[in-house]
Amino acid sequence: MKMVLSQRQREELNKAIADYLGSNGYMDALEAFKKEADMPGEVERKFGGLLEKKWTSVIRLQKKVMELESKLNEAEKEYIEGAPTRGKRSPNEWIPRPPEKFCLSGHRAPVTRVIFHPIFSIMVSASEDATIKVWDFETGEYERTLKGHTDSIQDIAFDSSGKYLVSCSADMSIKLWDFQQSYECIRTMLGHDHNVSSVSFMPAGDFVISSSRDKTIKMWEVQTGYCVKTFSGHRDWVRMVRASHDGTLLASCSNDQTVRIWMVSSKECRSELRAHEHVIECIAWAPDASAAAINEAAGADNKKGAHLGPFLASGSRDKSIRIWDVGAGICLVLLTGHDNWVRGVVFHPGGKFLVSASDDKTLRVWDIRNKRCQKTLEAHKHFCTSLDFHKSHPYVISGSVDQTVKVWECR
Amino acid sequence: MTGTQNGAQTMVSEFQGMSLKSANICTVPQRKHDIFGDNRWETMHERYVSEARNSEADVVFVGDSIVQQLQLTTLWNEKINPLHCLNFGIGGDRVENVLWRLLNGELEFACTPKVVVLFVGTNNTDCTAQQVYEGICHLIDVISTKLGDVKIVLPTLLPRGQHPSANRERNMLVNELCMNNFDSVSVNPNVHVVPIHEDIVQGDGTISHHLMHDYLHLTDEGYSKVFGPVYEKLAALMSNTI
Repeated sequence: MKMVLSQRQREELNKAIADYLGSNGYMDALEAFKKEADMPGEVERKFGGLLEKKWTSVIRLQKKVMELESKLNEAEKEYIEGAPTRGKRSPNEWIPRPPEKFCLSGHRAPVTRVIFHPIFSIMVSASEDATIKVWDFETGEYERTLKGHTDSIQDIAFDSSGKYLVSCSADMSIKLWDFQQSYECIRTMLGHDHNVSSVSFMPAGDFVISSSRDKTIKMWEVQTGYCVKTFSGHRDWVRMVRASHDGTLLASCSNDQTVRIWMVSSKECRSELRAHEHVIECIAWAPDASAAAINEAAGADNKKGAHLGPFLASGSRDKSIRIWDVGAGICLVLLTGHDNWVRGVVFHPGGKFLVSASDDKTLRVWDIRNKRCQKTLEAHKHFCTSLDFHKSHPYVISGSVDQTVKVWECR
Repeated sequence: MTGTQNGAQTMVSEFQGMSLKSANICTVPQRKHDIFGDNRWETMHERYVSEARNSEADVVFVGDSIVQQLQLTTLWNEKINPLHCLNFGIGGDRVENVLWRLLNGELEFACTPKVVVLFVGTNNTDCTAQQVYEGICHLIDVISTKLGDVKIVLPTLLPRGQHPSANRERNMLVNELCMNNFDSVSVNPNVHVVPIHEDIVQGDGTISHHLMHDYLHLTDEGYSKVFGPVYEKLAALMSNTI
């Protein structure tokens, strides 16, 4: 028999076998083996249990190999299925791909919202632990924590310059934070009678809008902190409010299962969009670049009667996503596929895709034109609560009830 | 061993006697006495009250340690919790303790849940099956009164102890009462009894520690097997209510 072991290894194996025989009481076999292997005397202590150790480590390693192989398979599949390499990716086509680049932990309770800074390579997360955390999404480093709220933070938003951050909480307050130097809370705005569920800057940065479980939407002047307008009409908890790109309209969604469109100037509710069959969790205004894809999805003839928009997407606990022509007040596109509540929707900056986060623990990339789910990312161990798509860099971030924030690179 | 059994029996007969004259202790709300001096029962209850006020859960589990420990299991994490749940289980709770909790804030929801899973009774070892059953009926009345049209899922009580005992027998008698009296929709169409007590006791009358590690509480695998039908029932009820 050809021996693959070196002389030294063979001696080691023999001694390990002798130890195994000895310690298991196979004394006759031990004596015979010692004689045949020419190994007189006692077996040194360092060989105690060695054979068994090697035996179990083989299984452990095999398991590890299998794990790594399945990971490799996943990566290969990703690569072979036509995901472009980093060098060849294009900003209009790139979509988030597994595995995640970073999984960041630090929050001590579910993460409720994640957003990118408009300029710097940082992102911010809000949590039910009443803190806001700042992270570098390129290095995965934790930067700082903003403390001040006394209950669950529900939403956060930057102004377009990234100099101010605004946050709102179940403690019924809205806080404005200096994001240039001090990172301190510079103003607290009180006026809602219940949990403040969502907050956002108007495009010009001069006003903040907020929505609450008290069924109202309020507008606040950044300079003074005064509440200057209240929009009433929803019959239940208002989950989210977002201003249109030109700042003339507000869109809001509610537990009353409607999306409402408001005129900022007159506080008038211009339309009520009905079709969802459960609480509507989230909304997002479509970028201009999405108009073509949405029109194609709606089956409109582009020459005549094309839908002019503006367009808005909404995600609901009825597990569906809808895209609406706000101008006409009709639903154009229905996207189904999630197996649980939809908690976050964001348009791809290139306009062709929409990405969503859901309590089914996945992120999904939707090809708007074909009304089809193009990619599903098994993103978190628990409900995915929020996501954001960077406007210019190839990154998507997600937050979860599993208390982590994940960074996904796009290709 | 024999001594304690006799003791239990005398207590049972005493309580039986009492129930003839005075109220059934299972139907009298009872705050738990803080014998350990750290007030955990009270603080857990307060947390549940605040969770009820703030959450938007669709399913609420109410009961004893078997309910409480459910949230540490694979079945909970992978199947049950995605239905959007709250867990109001407290170890050692008896029917009357749960009754006190439900009457003192744990049902004051801002958003009414769709289903309540009620699982309590095995700790009432000094009561008769009839008393426990009446206690459960009373709990169901309280839940229906407070939450209106909510569905109530009632998994049957589990057998306990490695070997047959009076406790096991009582639990099985409670189950029979529940199954017989809630089987027709006319009693309360919102109550759904889910029999989960079968297939736990082995052919020789013993319970395996692989299923119940201390012959009362389920192992992780035990939960998957025994509470699987509860999940199935919840999933079915939820798909009908959305």
